[in-house]
Amino acid sequence: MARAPTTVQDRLRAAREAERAAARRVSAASRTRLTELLRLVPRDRMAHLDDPALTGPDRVSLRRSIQVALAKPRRRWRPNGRMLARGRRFGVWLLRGVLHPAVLALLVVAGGWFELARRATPQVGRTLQPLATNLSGPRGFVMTYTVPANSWVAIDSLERDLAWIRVWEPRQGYLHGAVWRAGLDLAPAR
Amino acid sequence: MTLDPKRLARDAKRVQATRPTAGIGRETTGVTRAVRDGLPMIRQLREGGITWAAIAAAMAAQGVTQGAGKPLTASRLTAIVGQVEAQLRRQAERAAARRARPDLAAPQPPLTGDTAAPAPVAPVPNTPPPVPDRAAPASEEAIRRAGLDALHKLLKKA
Amino acid sequence: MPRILLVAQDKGGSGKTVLVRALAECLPAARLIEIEAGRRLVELDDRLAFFPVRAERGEINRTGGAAARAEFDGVLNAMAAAEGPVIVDVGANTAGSLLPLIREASGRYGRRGITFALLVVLTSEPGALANAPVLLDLAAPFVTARFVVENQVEGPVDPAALKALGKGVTLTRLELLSLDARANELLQQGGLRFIGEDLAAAEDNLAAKFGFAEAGRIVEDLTAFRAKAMAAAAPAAAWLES
Repeated sequence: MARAPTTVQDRLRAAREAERAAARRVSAASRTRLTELLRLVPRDRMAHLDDPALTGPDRVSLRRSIQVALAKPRRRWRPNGRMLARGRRFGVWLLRGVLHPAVLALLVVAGGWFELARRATPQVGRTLQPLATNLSGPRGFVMTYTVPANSWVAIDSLERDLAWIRVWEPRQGYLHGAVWRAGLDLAPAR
Repeated sequence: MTLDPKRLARDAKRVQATRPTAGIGRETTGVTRAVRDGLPMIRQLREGGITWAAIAAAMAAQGVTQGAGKPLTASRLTAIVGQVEAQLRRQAERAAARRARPDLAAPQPPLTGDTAAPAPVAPVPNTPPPVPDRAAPASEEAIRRAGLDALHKLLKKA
Repeated sequence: MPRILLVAQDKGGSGKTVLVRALAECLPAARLIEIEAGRRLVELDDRLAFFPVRAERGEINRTGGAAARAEFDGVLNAMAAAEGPVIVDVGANTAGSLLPLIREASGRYGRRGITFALLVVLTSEPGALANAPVLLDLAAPFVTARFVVENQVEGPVDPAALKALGKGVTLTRLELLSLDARANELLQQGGLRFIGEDLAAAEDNLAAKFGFAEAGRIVEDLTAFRAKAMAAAAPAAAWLES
């Protein structure tokens, strides 16, 4: 009676195949439905989260797709509590120490002085060669003067070819004259 | 217009005999009628150990169908046999109650002979029919059969 | 050489009926004998002989045990008349009485060429755990094969208990499957037979009644359950077939 048992194996195999086929159909239907739902705008997908055609994993995929679409873009780094506390203490320190009203008043006054000085400071140049000029003073004083080479002069203003310079004469005050601009080094190295 | 009492009796009995035995609702398929006709033989076969399925197949071979021309199934057969036997029992009880009433005339003998319709099956006495599965566990069986019937109806609705 | 497989577990509710149905699915040629207080395997009516077990102990006591001795005559006769593979569903609280009777007659069965095997269903419920070894021992003298199915419906069975069953036993497992509620209902109504025979053709009807998605899940769950039950019953069915 050595008949190899085949009926049982065949029936079992058929049963397993039926199970696999049914499972395939269900997951295929779910995948189709998921593809359909992913075509919707993320906001509309939410209404279909309970769709009975979706299997568990597909439903999770749908939910994740909504989360990804609706998530706000976040900064990569954001100061945490310690940092914020330090920042706050620094702000307080600034306010109490550095930005004190007395200090600010001082700064304003000092600022005023600096501005005054800045405006009074002339541009300065260095002569490249002896330059002759007619210096005129306030009371009609005129003098012919040659500025030696390689000496510093204060420049009042510049024109196309000329430079108006200023020279201090102790007895007459400031004397103004014009020289050829080309003879001056206007950006002298100090 | 005078009424002839003898003629009245004769015609009324004839009409009564030709009326189909009032059944369970409308008799659309004739299965209930067939079961009622063959009930004693069915009981005899069951005592002999023939399965319900075999009896149902035999009835189907004689042309008893259920629904839209489908052959009779065992579960439907048991359901109808149950219904018929319950109805016969009820009839017997009511007849016994009528016999106990003092104000009624003596009952007439049952009709035979001058009618064309087959005689109805004799009413069942009080002892329950000796079909093996009619005892208390049968109600569980009847529930199971009803469930199986419902399932087949669901699956083969077309 | 007719082969008879006895499926037994004296503790009720251990899933014996499921295994019997699975065996019937594995081997459509097998006939069935059901020994229970009430019929359960109604969908297998055309392959089945039913023998009721009377629950009235009073009758047995009154006849001084004679009723008990004659209680199983129908079953013993039916088994002696077996011509092909037979699956016997031994109802709860019955195997303890029946197995010794078969053992007494085993010599005479043997002369007719009839061989027996035993399949015991085991769950982690204490009554079933205690009863399984008892039945296996009762049957050992006259069966040619013994099978145990671990039914995990109450949880996995303690591995020590499984090991204690011994080496002469073929062990398979039926895992706990949670089914769709509708699918469970259909399973209760129709057993396993309709899953193999009618379910494929009925998918449209199911879809019409329950909706396309639910119908797909029902079919998936039912086919999976049937396949797993048949896998657990397969070794015993293979013995029955050969």
